[in-house]
Amino acid sequence: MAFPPRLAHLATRPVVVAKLVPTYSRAHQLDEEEAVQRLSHALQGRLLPSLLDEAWTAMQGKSKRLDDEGLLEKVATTLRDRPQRPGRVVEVTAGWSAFLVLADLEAGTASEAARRVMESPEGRQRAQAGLAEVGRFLATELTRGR
Amino acid sequence: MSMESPSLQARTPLYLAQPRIPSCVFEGLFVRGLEPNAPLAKALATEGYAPRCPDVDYPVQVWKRCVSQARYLAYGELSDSEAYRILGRKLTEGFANTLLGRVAAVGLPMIGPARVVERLPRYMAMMGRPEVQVQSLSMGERVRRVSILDIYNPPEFIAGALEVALEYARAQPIIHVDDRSPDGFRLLVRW
Repeated sequence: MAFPPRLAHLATRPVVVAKLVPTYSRAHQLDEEEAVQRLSHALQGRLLPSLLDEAWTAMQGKSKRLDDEGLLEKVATTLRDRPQRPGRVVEVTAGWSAFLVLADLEAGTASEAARRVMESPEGRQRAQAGLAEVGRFLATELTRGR
Repeated sequence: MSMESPSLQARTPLYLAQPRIPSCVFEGLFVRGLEPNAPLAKALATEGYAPRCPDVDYPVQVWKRCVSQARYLAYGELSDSEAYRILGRKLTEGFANTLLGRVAAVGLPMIGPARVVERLPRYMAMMGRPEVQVQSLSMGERVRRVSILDIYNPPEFIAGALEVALEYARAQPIIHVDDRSPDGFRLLVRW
């Protein structure tokens, strides 16, 4: 795990779900309540730390002026008033699609065929690219504050 | 006329387990590819497919019946071969807009038509049909004779679906159904 433990204390599962759920619910044409439930379930395991890892890498790459402490302060400031403010809805690209299929696999709502695709070498490559893309999105959402 | 490939004939298809078709394939054809008219939407629901709360996957027989309903209720005025080819095209067009389809389709322009044909077994597996046996024989740089052991889909349906995949790979394909038998069919694919 490359990200500092404090990031996980700030960007908790409900916080990350709140940032991703608008795009998730639109992609699946689900109502928000069900989308929150499915995404929370999906982020119970290894997907959340992997995503925070990518988000942290993106934050470090973006804010060269801030050290790790400064970055974490920026995240804390962003999340201070309304940590579960919903994230922006973004266009679902191939990268986002791969991430959302991974989430569905974790939530148990994707088919065996989807698992076979994502476990192939090409699928893994796409999954990694998807994690990185959604990690960048999350980094932006977590550092939007003052 | 029967299929020519002796090795293909000698194999026993793995039809023992009934294939299950992922709901994203249904979504591809019936939600994103077609815009079902009211009678078709009702017929799909009667067959067991509910787009608003889909199962993870469905028995292949449900798929087969739903495709058949679409053939008559969406393209009733067309011949079987015309209707199924259009439906096959709609399947790939729609599937490429599903989450799983986007993951697969993004690579098509880069890999080119020859590798699309090579990867046909992989695409069939993605559609819930890993048991389908596919043999491709090169008849020239841009010609392949493709034998497919599939008893559930009409040949023109697969021809239409493959046509669009090849178009996404930046080719202009012409696909003829070359032969059909009770176990499957053979396509002549040119681009």
